[in-house]
Amino acid sequence: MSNLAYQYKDSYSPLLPEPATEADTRRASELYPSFETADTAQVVAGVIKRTYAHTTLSRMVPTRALPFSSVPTKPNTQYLCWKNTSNWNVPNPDLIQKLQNIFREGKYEIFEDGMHSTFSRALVSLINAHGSVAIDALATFLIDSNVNPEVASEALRWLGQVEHTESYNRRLWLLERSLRSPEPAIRDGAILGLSFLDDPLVIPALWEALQTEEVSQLRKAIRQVLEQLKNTQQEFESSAISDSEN
Amino acid sequence: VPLAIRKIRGQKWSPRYSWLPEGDLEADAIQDLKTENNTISLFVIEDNRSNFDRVLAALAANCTNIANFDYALIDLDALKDSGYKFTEDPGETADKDVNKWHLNMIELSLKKLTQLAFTLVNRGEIDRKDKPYVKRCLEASVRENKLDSQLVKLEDKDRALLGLPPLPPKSK
Repeated sequence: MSNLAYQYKDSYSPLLPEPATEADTRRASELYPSFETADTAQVVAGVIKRTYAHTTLSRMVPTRALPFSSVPTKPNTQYLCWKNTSNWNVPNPDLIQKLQNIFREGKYEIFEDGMHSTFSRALVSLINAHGSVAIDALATFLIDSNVNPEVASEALRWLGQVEHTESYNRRLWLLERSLRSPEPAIRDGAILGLSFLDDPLVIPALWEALQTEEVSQLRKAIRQVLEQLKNTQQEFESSAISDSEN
Repeated sequence: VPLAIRKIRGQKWSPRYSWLPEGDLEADAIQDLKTENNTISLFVIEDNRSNFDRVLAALAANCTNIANFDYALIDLDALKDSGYKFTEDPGETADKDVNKWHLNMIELSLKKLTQLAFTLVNRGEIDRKDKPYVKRCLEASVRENKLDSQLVKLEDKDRALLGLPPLPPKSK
């Protein structure tokens, strides 16, 4: 492994997926050196390719040089929010404090599927007010702190439910990242959050999670979401064909 | 044989922690069996499950948002044979027919409640219906005018998805 690969790992920020496998690390090392001053675009290209490995988008993204302006986009779709690996939204201490308070209070609630709680209302309100910055703070909080798994699980469910376009990609990433949490409750929250997003682009991440998931009930839940997303994808395709015929 | 259904949060009912002895349940599961006056609310599902979707829609209409529906389903006679007592009290959902299928399991002691949890796991069926399924059930009940829209507790965003008018401000 080259030093550059280590550099990639060392510069890991909570907003970029850490290399999950040796292959991912190697891919990062291939990407990193070619544009020393545009390293962001290189790493981001790697992220796009991995996240959308089985989609057309992946084939459109070159393995090497990729300035941001050339990232292919579709109308009404944001693929990435990260602009610089070293310049992501530094967690706002006020937001972190607010989240800590919300999570502390959340520990005393009993959550029910489909029911708003004081916790969920506070979280959704924070996301609506602060957008991606709130998700960045939440990411730091969920990944770095010793968070209550049930409350984290509830937070992830609402990340999939909240209607906030600007923060979509960050929410998507955080949900995918949470599939690798050591806590089963958090993984279940992520699975449900992703099911609520109902975005077929998460299929590769769910397939990956299915290969490593050890809890049978969660494997079943992942399969159920994969089935749901397959149906959604078929509906998209049918609708696209129908549109093109008209 | 009719069945009894109870809405739960499914993840707590599966052995997801390595520290949990085989055959045991995590303590948090009992949160899904919240009692009121030593009573638990259940709905009856026909043995051919013909009313399952309708009961599901009625229970989902009691929520604020359309989401997944995790449930435990169990043979009602098995519960009666185990000594559990029931009363046929009307339910409180937006579907007046579903309300007639409501039962209260009464005179529950802590021991009986714990036994109920294990009976649900060992002899019942614990499963999840995803959000699209729940939405289809709600759509069917709305289409067939089974739900009193004034009693549907869903928030306006989800009411709109079902073609229901927004809740009047004082009901929100």
